[in-house]
Amino acid sequence: MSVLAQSFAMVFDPQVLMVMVLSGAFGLFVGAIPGLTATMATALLVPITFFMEPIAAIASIVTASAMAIFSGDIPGALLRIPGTPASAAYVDDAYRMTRDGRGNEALGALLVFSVIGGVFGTIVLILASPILAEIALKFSSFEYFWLVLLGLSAAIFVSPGSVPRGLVALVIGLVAACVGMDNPTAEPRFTFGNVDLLGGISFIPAMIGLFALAEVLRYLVRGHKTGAPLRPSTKGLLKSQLPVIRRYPKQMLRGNVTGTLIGALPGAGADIAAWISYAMSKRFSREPEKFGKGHVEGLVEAGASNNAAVSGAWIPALVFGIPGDSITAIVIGVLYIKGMNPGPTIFINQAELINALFIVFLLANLLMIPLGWLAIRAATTILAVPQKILMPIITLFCMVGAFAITNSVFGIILMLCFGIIGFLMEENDIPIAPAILGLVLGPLLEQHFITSMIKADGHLMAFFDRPIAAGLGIFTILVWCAPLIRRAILRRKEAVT
Amino acid sequence: MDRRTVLPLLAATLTLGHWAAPALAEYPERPIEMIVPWGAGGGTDAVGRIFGQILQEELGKPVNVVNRTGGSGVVGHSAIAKAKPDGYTIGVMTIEIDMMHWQGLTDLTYKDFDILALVNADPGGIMVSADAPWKDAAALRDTIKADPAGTVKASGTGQGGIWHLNLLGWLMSEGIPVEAVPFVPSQGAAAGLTDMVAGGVQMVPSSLAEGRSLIDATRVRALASMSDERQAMFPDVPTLKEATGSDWKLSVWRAIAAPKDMPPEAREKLTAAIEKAYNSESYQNFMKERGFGLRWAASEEATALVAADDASLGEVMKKAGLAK
Amino acid sequence: MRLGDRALGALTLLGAVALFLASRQFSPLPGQKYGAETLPLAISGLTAIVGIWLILQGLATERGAPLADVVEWAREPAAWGRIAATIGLIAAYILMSDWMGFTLASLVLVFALMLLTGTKPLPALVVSVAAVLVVQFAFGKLLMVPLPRGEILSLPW
Repeated sequence: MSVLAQSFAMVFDPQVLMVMVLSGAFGLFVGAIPGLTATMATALLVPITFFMEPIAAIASIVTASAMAIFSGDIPGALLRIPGTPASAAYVDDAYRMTRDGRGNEALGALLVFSVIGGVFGTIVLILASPILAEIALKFSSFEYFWLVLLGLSAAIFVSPGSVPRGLVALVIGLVAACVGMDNPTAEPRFTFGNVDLLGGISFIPAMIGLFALAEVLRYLVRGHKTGAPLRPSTKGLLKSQLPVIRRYPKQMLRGNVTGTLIGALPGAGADIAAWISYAMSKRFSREPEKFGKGHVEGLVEAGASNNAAVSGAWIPALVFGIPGDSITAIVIGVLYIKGMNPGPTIFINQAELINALFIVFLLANLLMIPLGWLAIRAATTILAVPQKILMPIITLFCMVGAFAITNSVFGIILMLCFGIIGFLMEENDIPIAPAILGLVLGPLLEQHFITSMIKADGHLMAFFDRPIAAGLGIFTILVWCAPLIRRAILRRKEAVT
Repeated sequence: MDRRTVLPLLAATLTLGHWAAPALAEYPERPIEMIVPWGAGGGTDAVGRIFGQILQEELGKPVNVVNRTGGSGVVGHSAIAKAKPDGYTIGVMTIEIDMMHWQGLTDLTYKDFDILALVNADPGGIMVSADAPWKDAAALRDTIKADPAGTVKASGTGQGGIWHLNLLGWLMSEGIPVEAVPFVPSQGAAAGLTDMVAGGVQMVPSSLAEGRSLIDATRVRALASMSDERQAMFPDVPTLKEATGSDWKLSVWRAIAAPKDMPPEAREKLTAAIEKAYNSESYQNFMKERGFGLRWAASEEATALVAADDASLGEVMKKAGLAK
Repeated sequence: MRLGDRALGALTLLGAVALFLASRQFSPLPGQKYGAETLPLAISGLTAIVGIWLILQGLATERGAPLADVVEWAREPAAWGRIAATIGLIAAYILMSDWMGFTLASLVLVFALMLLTGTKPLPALVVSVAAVLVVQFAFGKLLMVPLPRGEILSLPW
């Protein structure tokens, strides 16, 4: 008990609390700007944490990254500019809700379920880290291959409307993913001798182009006729979520669990978690036809999953020093500098520090409610700006955001090209989201396939040799065959009657 | 707002610009950009950021880290070499500069840079899973020699990446055909190590520092260090020479480099600041805590080291068929 | 312009063939069955299936319909003009920003875009100056994004 008391004393130090509030505000600000990521917020904090006490240093990073992940959803809901590939999964629903004057409900759901997901992930982190980390260590390229394939299959479920048109989008993303030399063979593909293309197509500039610039172009050709989205009021923002929680408890729990588990795998993360959760939500929903058209159910499940995965990524990071994503990669470095060497013994040797870390996690997630509410309030004011003034400013933000990812005009070139592609896609009823999925997961699919085949000397059956891989493989194949099987059963029933 | 307020505002904006370009003031008169060819969160980024932070104190102007990633470092290294040599763009150069031109990815070599100093070096190593049968590097070598090719597989970096070359160089030095150990490309050492612990591959020839947490957790066993002397952080791990008698050595290093032909005053000031930053307590402590190897070489010596690696890596790559 | 299933399918199939041909220049890893060509080849296969699927679906459902519908805005030359101007402005920014510097280049860009969306010149100028200065401060100064300084006008940030 005295250990716990000590930990509380460490966290509830005025200086630590102030650091948390300030870095929380910083994280919200960085995350809300399209093109700036949670990773960037974390990287910018590192030199500053160097001069802080261990707990304050970790607290600032935990708070800033959690806030940045949430606030990445805000421009998604208001302007259709998703902050991360994970939030691209549900951006259409959130944006549609804003256009329909239900922005208040959408942002409230994103905030509340982000917090719930984050808290759930933290509780799992506290209770089950060592066990989950052991399981995560059993995942090799064979298991990840199936997981990625399962994530890609989500494209079929998430695309509203025509399935083959959704697949066209997926293919566009996959082809873009082939560009460059950062593939397992290190052979440059489709680079046409250009140095920048050697690095491949960076997905954030592409995403900004596909969603945001395409939206600007669409406004320019037909905007005057569609009308501006209404500015959501922040009244009852949080209270309006109580009925949502009551209505979708199963979805919330499923999102929490899926997110934490996938997040705990070092080779997967929030992106795959959010997409699988969104697809799962649609698949099991009683009203799947509403998805993608401004339905809150997917936001509940995928939003919770997204943030649960971010907490889950800390599991392998703390137990084995293995980064689950680029944020934990930075964090591990900071932990070492502060003398908190990650490893199974950290839980025993540095119990008061680790407990303090857990308290920081919970506190950071709770702090998200007031700070997030303020951020939403501030952010929604931009919808009061007339569209004819807003659109040029969005364009400027898109350009600077794309520039900030590559730190060169190459990011803007990518954004422009994908903006045109995105505009053409939407004009042809080809959904955008599956293209993002292909772009993000394509490289992972290739990586895990090629490395598995090298390990197995080219024997395809090796994908079923290991127990977890076999389980995941059979599950994936079942998911694919499910529509066929259902149709066969239906036909047989018809034949009988 | 009307015209009367707009015009002065605009005028103010324009005049601000003229302040920024006074005649030759003393270097540095504005922020310095430090290009890191690798992503945020990696080791090179960490070294770049801490170095930038200390350099900033020495020079009295902000030193901003700029990540220019992709293409196995080609993008970032090109950006350093092609920047204006005015002393306001420097960068962190990594050993990949000695590999990319052999692979035919670029014409750029270390000769296109002004290498200011080498500030860190981490020797390569040999690591196996803790439940593997090999207790020392000689036993591992004997298995590789005796058993059919592919019994032992390695991972820890991309195809043709530095740890891949470390493996090939070691095998060549032991007289083992390079086909004996297939290499499984991975996204970095951490991914390779995780895969090894999961049973996907048998060895990872990366630097021991990268496996530190798993070595401490007794999941990974370090068998050798490809250095002249044992590493301070891993006193129980023998050098490769001690372990198998091989003469192969390889260290990855990080150097501070600038585009060629920068003004001499700027260069002088910068190199002095870099040396001071290297010797600062903050840098020394940071590197020790992170488990990164401290190694200092001033401009001339650093250039010679980089040149020597260029030759030896070129030889390995040609022999292994990785050079174009 | 909205392509029907048949037209889109044919285009997709064409893409599949192009991708297949382009993938053949890549080779497997030394000593392995798979390599750089595997993923592009697999994608070209998937693309071909999708193309055929679309064509079949189109043949079944679009009998007698035109290959593509021309949507309303596409008949307005002004709409095409606005799109072309926006793309042109961004392209000009890409080419000129290193020389002009972020401040001036983005000011021109935002101001021109505002005129394009029908904002009156004076408010457009005021808002553009404000937006550029805010972005410059937030990104350049606070977040240390290396915005191009330019040769003719640069703020001392």
